[in-house]
Amino acid sequence: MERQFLKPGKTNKEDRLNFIKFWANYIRTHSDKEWSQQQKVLIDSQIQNAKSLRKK
Amino acid sequence: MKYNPGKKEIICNKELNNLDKFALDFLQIVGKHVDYVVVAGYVSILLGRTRITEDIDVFIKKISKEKFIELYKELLEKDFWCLNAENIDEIYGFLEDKLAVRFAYKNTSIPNFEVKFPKDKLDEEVFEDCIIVKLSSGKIKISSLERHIAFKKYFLGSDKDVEDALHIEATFKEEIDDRKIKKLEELIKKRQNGKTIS
Repeated sequence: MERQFLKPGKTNKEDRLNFIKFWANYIRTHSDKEWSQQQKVLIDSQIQNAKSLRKK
Repeated sequence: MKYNPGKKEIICNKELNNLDKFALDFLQIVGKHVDYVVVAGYVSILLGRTRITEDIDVFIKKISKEKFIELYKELLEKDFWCLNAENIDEIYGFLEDKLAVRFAYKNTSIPNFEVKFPKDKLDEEVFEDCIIVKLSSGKIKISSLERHIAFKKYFLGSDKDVEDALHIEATFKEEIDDRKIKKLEELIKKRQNGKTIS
């Protein structure tokens, strides 16, 4: 599979939108397991952080 | 991830994160007592968006107080609690007043479910064209992708909401019905102008 590249945005907003399109393309071209493992790291760590902060 | 618009279903073999597990835990109970549809940000997250949310929005069909008591009892038995009140009359009263009530795992506040009755015809229509996401260990009913995009873009409209919509548009670009989004945009604008949707 040909590698896709992320187009840098001229502003923070444009950069975010470009990343969303890039990620959507990644989802379309990779297995559910591949993209969801990456999503899981992000979401689980943020939930864990939030819980740790509440305990302090 | 495969979306079949004709069957109104998405098959997703994702590895479930803790937010997905929380959603399945809660909705498995809710679904036994009342018809529901998940709307807003979690729809995008369930389908791959790389962000977190502290709450999951869900519409439930209007049910009698007696039926709601049964649902509430089971939620308590399965270690959920309501963040707004303990008294069932008060909780049901909030729902009747078209206010949202939040539920989380006991002794926690996040993540939580924001549960509400539909406010008008446009909200009620969410039940008519909803789709089912089939996961490895359960199913979740979500609003149609077109409705999700239209509400995010034309009703909510913050940067985050537009990004949530873009995620779905880009991920399912070949299956999305643009004409349906346009129709919904018109209805949403009517509602914003104070016109009754019938």
